[in-house]
Amino acid sequence: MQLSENDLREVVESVWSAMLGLELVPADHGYSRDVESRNLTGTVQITGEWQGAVMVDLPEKLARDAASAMFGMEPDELGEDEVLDALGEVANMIGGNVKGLIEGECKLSLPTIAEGGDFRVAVPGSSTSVLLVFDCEGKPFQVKLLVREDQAAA
Amino acid sequence: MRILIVDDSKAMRMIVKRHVGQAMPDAELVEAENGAQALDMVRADTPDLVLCDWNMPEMTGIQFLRALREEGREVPFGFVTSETQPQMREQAIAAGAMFCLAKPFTAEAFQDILASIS
Repeated sequence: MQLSENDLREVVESVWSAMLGLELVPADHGYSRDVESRNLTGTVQITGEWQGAVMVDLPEKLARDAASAMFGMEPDELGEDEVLDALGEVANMIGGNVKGLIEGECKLSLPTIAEGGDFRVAVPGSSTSVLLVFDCEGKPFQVKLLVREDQAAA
Repeated sequence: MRILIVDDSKAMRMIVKRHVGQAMPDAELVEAENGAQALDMVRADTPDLVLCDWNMPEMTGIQFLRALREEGREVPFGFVTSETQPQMREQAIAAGAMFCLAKPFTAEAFQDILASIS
């Protein structure tokens, strides 16, 4: 089964508005990391009758804004673990809601976070099915839905 | 009223605490990071309500709920989870949960759930 851009956009927008209270707008540009700064990627995998993953790529500054909204604290008061925790929960909520749109028995993994300047996170055997780029408070981020290639055409 | 909030995400525990605090300013809020820790806490001192995530390390929310019921502990229990598939909800209700509140939720949805059980 194929999830549409609209399906994923609605999930991301609801997480951002209901849980973070932050406004986002669809971007008219691609997402590229500023490799001189810290960047984060939050990933959850879905396994079972449908297999794929959700990845959220964003600059650390935006992850800190999101964590600030979730913890109700100023961005510079937050520790590193709190920023990673918040991004993990954002990825979990997006992944859980994507899973809710899929038919069949599936399991959601716990989130994992990668961080660094210039890096890549890959899920071997999968390809990007939907890619959305947004701007939130002037900071870009992207959300990717990856699908296992052996079922991408199903 | 004493409420146990169980979630491996500290950020989500903060959000749930904030919402509960607004709806029930006098409630005593206690926290656990996973089902195993929460099970020990309930055994030691049973709360009036458990608000629990589904996916957690050590022991998931549904394992925790089933363990409680197997021990004959009938503490009111609700899921606050990003798991929104109908079969998960059915599993939760069959295991003895009162409700499943889907994440992300609005402040209104959270208040409505709390109002319905208080």
